[in-house]
Amino acid sequence: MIGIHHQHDKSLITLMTLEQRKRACEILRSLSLAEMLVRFNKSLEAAEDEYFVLGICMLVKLSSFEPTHMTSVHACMAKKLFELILMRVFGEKVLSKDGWYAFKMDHPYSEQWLRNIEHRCKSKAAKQP
Amino acid sequence: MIPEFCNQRRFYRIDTMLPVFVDVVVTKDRIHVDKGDFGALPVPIFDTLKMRWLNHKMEVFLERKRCAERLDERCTDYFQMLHGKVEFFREMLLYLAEGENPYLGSLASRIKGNFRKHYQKITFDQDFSESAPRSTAIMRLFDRRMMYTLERIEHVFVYSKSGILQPFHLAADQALEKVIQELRAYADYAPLAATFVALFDYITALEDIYGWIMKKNDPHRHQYKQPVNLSCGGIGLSLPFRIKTTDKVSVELFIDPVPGVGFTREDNPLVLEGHCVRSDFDAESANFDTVINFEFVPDYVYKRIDSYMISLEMNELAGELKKL
Repeated sequence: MIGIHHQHDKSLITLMTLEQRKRACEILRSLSLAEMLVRFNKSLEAAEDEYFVLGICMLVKLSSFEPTHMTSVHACMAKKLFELILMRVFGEKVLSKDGWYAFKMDHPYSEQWLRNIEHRCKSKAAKQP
Repeated sequence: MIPEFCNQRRFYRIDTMLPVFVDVVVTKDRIHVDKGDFGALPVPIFDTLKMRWLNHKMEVFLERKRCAERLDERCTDYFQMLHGKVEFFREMLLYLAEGENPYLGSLASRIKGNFRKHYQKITFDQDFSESAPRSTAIMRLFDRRMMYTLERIEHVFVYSKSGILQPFHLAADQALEKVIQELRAYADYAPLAATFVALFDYITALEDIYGWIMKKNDPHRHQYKQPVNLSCGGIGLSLPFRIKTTDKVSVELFIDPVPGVGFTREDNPLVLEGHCVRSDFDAESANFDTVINFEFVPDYVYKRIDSYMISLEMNELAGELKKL
């Protein structure tokens, strides 16, 4: 079916092992973003694995949202959430200068997505009434 | 199989409340008439063709019945009884088809008194039920199904007086369907099985026409808000009527616009064409869980649905963030 295949950061999924991918597939199929966030907050003190998988699922799902299809409020919210989860999953060094360079080389799609969504935050047309 | 890139569809998993209007475009395979293209025909001719199709089903049933009677005389009374009930159902349909009839009110009151009596007059004989338990069981299933449909019709009659027609549903009996599926396998060899199958076809035809008549009289019947599982590839919803998998379907969606994407409320409704993937009977809701795949999704439709679903997800997320 033309046009419905989503675009998201596929390089993030390759970070996981095969078993983790299976779980991620189930999570993405069954849960919404808010439900994922609730589970993510609960899993902070649980096993590392669960925490990692849920984080990457949220990143993938957020990166699948097209910035041009969102309002500016939602875009800002998505951007902040994306950065927070990046910090939690990859460590706080990601947003530093060197760390961000390394991240950019490995995951160019999400870098591009963040740039697009910043542009969306500032746009006047997408303001919510 | 382990998916390389998780899910190839969009990741929304949200059930939304949407006003939806579903219209079934009947394909050729469904009605067995030799000549004529249904797409090109005006409505009244289509109506008569439907009735001719129904008559054809009835004739098949009567032929099968005669064949069965030659072999086994005990069956005659029971088939006669069932046939009487089905004909009663058909009469009710004819009354309903007239729609805005001034006599409908009085007729409703007349039928309401005699309705149950007329239907429950004849009962099963003990001798036959002891000798042939399986076939009596099947007949009971038929009976239950007819009773259910007639109750629904009575409900419509009662409410037609005040002008309020509530959404109703015609439910099929799953047990009966399973039995008929089995019987279809050896319908060529056993005349009794063939009669059961023919009767089942006849009743389903009646039910189809019933649904069609109700839709014709009140087109806004199925246009109500209901939980819908929507994506750009298709839609999943529960309907009060069955759609066959070969049928083409047109769906009208009423979607709120998202600011900045470039659509207004006046662009509603959004009309999409597709085909039915499955429609299974759900016993809890007494509705049919149907899934419809859209055949072609143009770019502007993709934008609208996508933006709407993203806004829903983000609103839910904002509500969750407030709690934290």
